[in-house]
Amino acid sequence: MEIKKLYLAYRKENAAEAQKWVEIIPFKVKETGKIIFTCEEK
Amino acid sequence: MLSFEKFKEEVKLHFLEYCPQDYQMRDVHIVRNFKENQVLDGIALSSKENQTAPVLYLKVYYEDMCEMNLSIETILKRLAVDYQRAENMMPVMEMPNIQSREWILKNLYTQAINYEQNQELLQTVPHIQINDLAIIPRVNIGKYSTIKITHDICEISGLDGDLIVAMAMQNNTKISKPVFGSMNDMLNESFLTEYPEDVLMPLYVLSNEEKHYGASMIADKQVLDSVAKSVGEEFYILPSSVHEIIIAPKSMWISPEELRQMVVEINRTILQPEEFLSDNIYQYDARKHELQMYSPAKGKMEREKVKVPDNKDMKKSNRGQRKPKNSR
Repeated sequence: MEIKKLYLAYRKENAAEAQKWVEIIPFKVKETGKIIFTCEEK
Repeated sequence: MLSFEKFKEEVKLHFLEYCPQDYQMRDVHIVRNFKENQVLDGIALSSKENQTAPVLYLKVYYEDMCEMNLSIETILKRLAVDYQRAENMMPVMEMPNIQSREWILKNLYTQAINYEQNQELLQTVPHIQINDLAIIPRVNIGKYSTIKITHDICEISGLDGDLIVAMAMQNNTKISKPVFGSMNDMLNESFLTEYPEDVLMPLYVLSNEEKHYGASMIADKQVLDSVAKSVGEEFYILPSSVHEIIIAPKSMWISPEELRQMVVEINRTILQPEEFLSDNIYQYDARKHELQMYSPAKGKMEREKVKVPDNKDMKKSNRGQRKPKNSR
């Protein structure tokens, strides 16, 4: 199906774009209540 | 062989023994991060001085230990080296003052995620459910860094979860500017990949300028109204990924069931777990301003279902009840 070829090509292309982003996930330290921003390794 | 739970305990207890002297005053945390469609346990260190820390997910280390029959000492040595490297490579970021209500409200935008696959994540963030999707609030921190607005952040900033969701949906296109165009044109612009140039199909992509979490446009009726005007006919919406949706005009004469099967196949074969949005296809009824989801069991589109949870009570009722669940 031709629509599938195009869809696949676009999805593969855009996957590289998303890789540039870093997710910061806040983590609350129970004992102190302090928020640590955890950063994933790329 | 150690269980994963025991492995995490051992890492927490002994990690610092493999780190340099200047790490010894830090606290070791095993953190549970709720990512799109998956729950990941990692290690992160905190200190009085640091507001940011890298997180290394432990599953891959545990799997290496089991598969290659390595000792826990070998894994801890590797983990310590990797952690120091990650710390050195961590981008320099000015963390926002998350107590600042103004800053949060001004920078809010939305992300669409799958509702069923993210039950644990949704216990930690205010949200609204639309059909099989959930809309959650986010803010960006500088270029290419983003953070979910969790109940913890709401509590610290004194902001109401329902207000955050409403403001994020209202402001979404100011922060996350919609981009709509033909898929052929968008592929032509990139020049990066060989793509099937002979394929000329009237498919369109709806995302944002960043091409990141742009699928949330599916929840914006004004944007969908504009799309309906541009396309000039009725169309299906394919949930390509959390980053974009695909618009397929009905004049292509492909049945919703065929489109749904294609989406399912691509979801299973191409997408990374964190990119998955939905297996269900949609259509937008521009006259009723309604987002309808195709039911394969009934063989027809179903009315839009919107559910607004009590985002105020959710934080209280879910404290201490965050249990892990396997991802899809």
